[in-house]
Amino acid sequence: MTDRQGQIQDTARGWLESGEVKYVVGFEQGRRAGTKVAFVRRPEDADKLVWNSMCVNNLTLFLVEEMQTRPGRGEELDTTPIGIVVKPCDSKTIVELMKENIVARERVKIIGVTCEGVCDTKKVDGSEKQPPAVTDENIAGKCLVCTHHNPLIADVVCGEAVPETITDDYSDVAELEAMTPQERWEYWERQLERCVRCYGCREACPLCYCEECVFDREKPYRWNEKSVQLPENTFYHLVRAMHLAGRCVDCGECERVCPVDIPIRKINRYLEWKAKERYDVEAGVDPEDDSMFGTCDTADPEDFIW
Amino acid sequence: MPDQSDGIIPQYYEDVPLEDDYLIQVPEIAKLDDEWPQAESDAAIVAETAIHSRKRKMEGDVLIVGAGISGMQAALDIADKGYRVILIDKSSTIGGNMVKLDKTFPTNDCSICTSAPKMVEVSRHPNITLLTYAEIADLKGEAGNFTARVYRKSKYVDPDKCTGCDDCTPVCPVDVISVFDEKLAKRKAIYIEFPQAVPIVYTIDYEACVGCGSCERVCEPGAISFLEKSEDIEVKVGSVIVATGYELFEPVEMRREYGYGKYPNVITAMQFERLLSSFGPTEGKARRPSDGEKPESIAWIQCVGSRSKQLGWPYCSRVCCMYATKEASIQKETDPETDVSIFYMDLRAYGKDFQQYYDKAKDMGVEYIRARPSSVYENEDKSITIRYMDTHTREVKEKTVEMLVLSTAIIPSQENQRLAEVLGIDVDESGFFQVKSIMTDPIESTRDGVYLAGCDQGPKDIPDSVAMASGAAAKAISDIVDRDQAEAVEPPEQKDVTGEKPRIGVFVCHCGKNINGYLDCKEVADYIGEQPYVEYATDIMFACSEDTQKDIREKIEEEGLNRVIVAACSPITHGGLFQDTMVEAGLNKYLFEFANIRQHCSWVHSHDREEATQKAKDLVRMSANKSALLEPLEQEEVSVIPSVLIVGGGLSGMRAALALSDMKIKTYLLEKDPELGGMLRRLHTLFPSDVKASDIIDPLIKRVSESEFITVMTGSTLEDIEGFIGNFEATINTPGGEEKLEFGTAIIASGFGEIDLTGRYGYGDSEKIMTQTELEERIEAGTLEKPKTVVMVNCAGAMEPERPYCCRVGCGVSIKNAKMIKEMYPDSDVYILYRDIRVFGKDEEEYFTDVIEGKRVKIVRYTYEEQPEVAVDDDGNVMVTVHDSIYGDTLELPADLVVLTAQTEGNESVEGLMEMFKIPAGPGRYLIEAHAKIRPLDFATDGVYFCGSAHFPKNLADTIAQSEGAASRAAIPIMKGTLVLEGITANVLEEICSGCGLCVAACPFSAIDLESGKAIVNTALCKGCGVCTATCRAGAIQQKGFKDEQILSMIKGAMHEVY
Amino acid sequence: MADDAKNDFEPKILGFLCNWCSYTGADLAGTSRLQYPSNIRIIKVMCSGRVNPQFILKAFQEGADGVLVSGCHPGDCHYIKGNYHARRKLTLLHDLMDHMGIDPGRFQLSWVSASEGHKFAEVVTKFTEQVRELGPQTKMAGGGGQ
Repeated sequence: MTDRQGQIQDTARGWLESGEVKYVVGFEQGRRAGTKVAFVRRPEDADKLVWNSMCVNNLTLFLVEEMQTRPGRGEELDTTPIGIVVKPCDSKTIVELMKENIVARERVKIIGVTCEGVCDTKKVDGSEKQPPAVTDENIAGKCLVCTHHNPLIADVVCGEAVPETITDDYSDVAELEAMTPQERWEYWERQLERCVRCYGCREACPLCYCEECVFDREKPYRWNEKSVQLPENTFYHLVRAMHLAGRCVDCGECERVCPVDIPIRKINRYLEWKAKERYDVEAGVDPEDDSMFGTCDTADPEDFIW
Repeated sequence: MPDQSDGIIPQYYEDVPLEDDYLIQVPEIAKLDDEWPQAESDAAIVAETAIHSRKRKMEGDVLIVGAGISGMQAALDIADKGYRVILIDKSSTIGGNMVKLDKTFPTNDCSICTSAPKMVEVSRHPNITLLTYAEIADLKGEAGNFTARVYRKSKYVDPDKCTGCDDCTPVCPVDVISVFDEKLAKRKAIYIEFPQAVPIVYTIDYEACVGCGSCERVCEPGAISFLEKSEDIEVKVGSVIVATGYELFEPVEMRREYGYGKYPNVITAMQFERLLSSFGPTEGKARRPSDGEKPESIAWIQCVGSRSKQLGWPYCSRVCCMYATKEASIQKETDPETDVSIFYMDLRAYGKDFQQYYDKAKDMGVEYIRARPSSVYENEDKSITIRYMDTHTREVKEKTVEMLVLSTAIIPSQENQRLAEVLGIDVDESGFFQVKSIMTDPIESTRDGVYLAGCDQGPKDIPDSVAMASGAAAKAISDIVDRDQAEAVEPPEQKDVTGEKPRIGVFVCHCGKNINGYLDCKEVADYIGEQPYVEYATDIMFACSEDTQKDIREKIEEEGLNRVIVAACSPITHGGLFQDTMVEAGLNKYLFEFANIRQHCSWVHSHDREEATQKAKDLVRMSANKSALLEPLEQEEVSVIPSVLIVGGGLSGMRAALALSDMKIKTYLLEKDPELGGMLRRLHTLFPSDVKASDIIDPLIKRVSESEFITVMTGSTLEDIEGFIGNFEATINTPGGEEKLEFGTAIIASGFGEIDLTGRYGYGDSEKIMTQTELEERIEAGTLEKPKTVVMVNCAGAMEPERPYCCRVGCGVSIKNAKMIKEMYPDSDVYILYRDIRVFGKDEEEYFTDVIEGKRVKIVRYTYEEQPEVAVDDDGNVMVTVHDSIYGDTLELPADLVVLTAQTEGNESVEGLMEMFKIPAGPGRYLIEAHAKIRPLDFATDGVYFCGSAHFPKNLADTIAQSEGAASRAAIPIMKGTLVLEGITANVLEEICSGCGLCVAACPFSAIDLESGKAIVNTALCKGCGVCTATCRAGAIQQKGFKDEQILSMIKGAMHEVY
Repeated sequence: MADDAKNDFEPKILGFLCNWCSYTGADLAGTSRLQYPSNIRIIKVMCSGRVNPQFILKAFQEGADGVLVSGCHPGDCHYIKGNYHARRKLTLLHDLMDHMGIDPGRFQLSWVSASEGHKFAEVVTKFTEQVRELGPQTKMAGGGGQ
């Protein structure tokens, strides 16, 4: 892992020295085992970049922010690229963002890191000082079903290639399918009634980049009432799932930040599964791919239609 | 109201005489001695009756006789150019034969669904005067100045008063056999032919009416008028288009051996269409006439009345193979268990996508049996046994089916002779109207200024008819182009209502008893009057009456209304009427909202007054909610650059240019080669005649170069296209450098060519092996030496997975060239190896038969599975081995000339054109039209049209018709001068748009682009479907008139009393 | 729920019909005087492709017991491929409802052409009965402006 860390630092330093990038977004060590986001602007600060099992966050959120920053009046947009450290799952986000014209490839230099999995931050003891090794007990849920351990897009890849051994059969989602509809509803009712509509899931999601979220709009109409009741919560989560359908790359940020532990990934993964099964759509693989709802096919299945 | 479910065949069928001479005069068929029945008597009747009628005079620019799909298309093409059309049809509705069909091949589009909007468009067009139930009695004068006499029979129903409510038919005591339903059902003496009839005005069948007056007593608006007189109308026009269509062969005398009229379970294909039609006598289910049961097995017999000089007509009827395939596959789709078979001679799947359609039918389990059955007999259980000789095994076999469908031929109308006399034109030997010249003027009749469209000059499928109708429109315009265009009536100035509080007026229509009889209109009006923003609400007897229009205009004024809702019938039929009233009152037409409380409420919930009233209140409330949020929409106008760019200077490009030139429209004719002429330059003669290609092409080139309206640009290619309909700009690479051109519309005529067969059929291995085109080049150059044995291999590279289509022209070309060789060298043996002989339509079959019989050309049929092999040995000898699928032998033919009828494909330049014009192409790079049936010359992209072999290979006559048709289409925007764009378009809220491009990808019309990270809508391209709006996550693109908040207000309105 | 209560229950049904095919098909059902349950309230849209999945969820939130969307048959869309777009989005919505245990039987997509008055009446009748059988929709209802 230090090997990767060294490569990350070297790359970042090189880019900053040559002025190819204006800054590099990466991870630095937090006060305890956890990491935090680092914006490295000077070559000499590249050393603080780390790579370990606690590099969980999807930093592309900051890439979106950079891309959506508009110059002030009279200022000119500084289009110097930024550097960014991404795990393979995060790299899929970049692919998806490129597909959606949010990220211009020439404005980002990507340090992709091969990855064997990271920890679930909620499963790591808060007292630990050092990042723990990834174990069967503490591994993040998304890593258990990960089929891309190597970055899909990068200017520099750090670390040895990791062989792909996992085939995702969506058994975690399929479990729910085995229940009766009533049981499924009761399961989701228990989850969704907890929601406090803090919109943390939306804020943490790099694909929730709308200039104005439909749920924040007041005029000329309001899609959803503000009250934190089951009907409003359900509406919110279903709409958000539809908005991410065919796009979500399962970076897991929504679930990670949820203060009431709603298994949001399950909803998104269900649609990911259906998108693949029905339309052969897989998000985050190729920026040239068509977007699922931007296209259609005469041969699309129509099993429930009268 | 007759309950349609009682109308199934068994009860009706038995007492329907098939030879009912009152309804259909049994044709006195006298083809053999070339004598036509004397028909003056008919004309005499028309003329005599006319004496007792009202007289009036009308003036117009073009008279169109016949309002089927061809007549309607021609009318719209002319009226859209600003000229006045008088469109007459002898039946009580327009629509012709097409509306009788269930679906259309090869797309299985619903036939009425595609024709009904055209019918409505025709009836509402300000430049079209529609005279139904009318016939032409005389035509005097000359091109540019005709005087016609039109005799319009009285319908005895006042069209201004009839609301189409259908109260009259249940009380009518007279049953009449419905010709529209092909005698499978009955109608009343007062009737409309079918629910979507246009105009929706009932007609009293005078001959059948017993004069009991029942209908008059129940008719609430008092529309029945037994005193209404027929009219004798003098019509002055500049040109005439004849589009009177066809009839179908009725196999009662000839082809009697198939038992039609004798055995109940033998029906015609058109009868089968009526059974399949959802508004037919069995509501769309195939049922045996003998007992109304579902047939377990159905067979079709092809060529009934066609391809036989002795027992019908000599020509191929052109559409039967495909309609039988369609009917069979629809049956198979509905009920896969049905045993479905088609007896055929050659399966003529010649058109675009036809072969694929046929292949699909085979995959679905439709059995194709190659045989012409000799006879059929009926069994005790009313099933039918067909006797035939299997051409593969040469055994006589029998097949028993529960229903037999006869694919009867398209034949000339019996009235053609009378019409021809009236119109002063000729008929051909079959009885179709004679064209001036099949090779040069396939649209002109034998009288100047009188043009032909559709099947009245020979069998044709729908797209070919539509293309020809557009072509006739172009021709008809050229006679009157110097006349003033009709001036549109200027509406009063529009009031600006922006910022005003909504003040809604609601008019709840009783429609006589049709609404008020089943729900309480007054209660609805009182209720809605209490809703927010509703300033005025009333119930009225007939919302559509002229009195009410006046009332609405007055109330808008008196009450200061700025929005209006009419709760009545359907916006589809009546929306335009009320929108016009809005405009007359100075309000934007998009401030009008309809609530459908008749078709969607009173008529479908007629058993529960309370529920129906409640639902009506809800529907009107929903409309009121939306109405309050309606905004005036602007319909942008764009001016049109008055010139056309034609890409491709072959036959079609030149014909299109000349047609435009005749309409005095400036044209740029772009050709990549140094000379005009295209494919025809390489050919020697042209099928189905022996006319030399140079005799066609040279005069054309001369005419093109002499035209003051045509700028020829040879050796030039397109580099780039920008803009949209009305305002295109092209960058063109010319020999003299890059040039920019501006134009309003474009026609693609990029043509086609033979595929490269190198490595197959020995092509490239020997000089003795060549393609048909190469053979013609050699003949043209005079370098073809006498061959001993010639073998032509048809379908080389065709109808195989990579290029699954039939090339449409190969059979004709091979026959023509075989004849040519035989004429040059009568001793040479000529073989044609073929899969099916696809010489379709008029003249082609006859030509083929003449060659086979007269020139002793040998034909050998092979199958896809056992393809001919061409081998070249070391000494250069060529041997063709073929398995004859009819006689079962394998033949070895030592050939000193092998001619490959190569598969064709669209020109390679198509790929660039697709990109530049945003137009699609399918298999073989053939461009894809906006609609396979009713828009065959248009693309989905407005302002771009196409013709000729860029669409699909075709013969000369079809190509010319298409080219002139494309010219007509391309001339419409030019002659309009300005285009009024759709008001319901998409609109981007820039501040919320993230520029993700999802809407750009989803838009079916490529109307959205990204500019500086924001979506931007090109309103000239936007058709207002709203797909983008439903796709945008942020709601940043909104469909005007159907904005999210407008639809949400209706959702809420449907669920809650208070919003 | 007791059978009697079910039978008394009159579901609120919302229908989105495209202008060119299904709305006209519904007109034809009327012209043909076919009778069907009166529970449905129709909203006309130009194309089934205009129907945002959010409308359906919103309708449920507003208290609809069933939502029907109907458009032109595949290949017949007036806007070339709007119905294909509708099919993709709404099929996934249907899947999602199923996954969440929100009776997918409450949401139906159908193709009704302008000539299929009978089919329209059949679809509405069948769908109304299906929703009636499912009973009042309580899972998402009670939100929105109620």
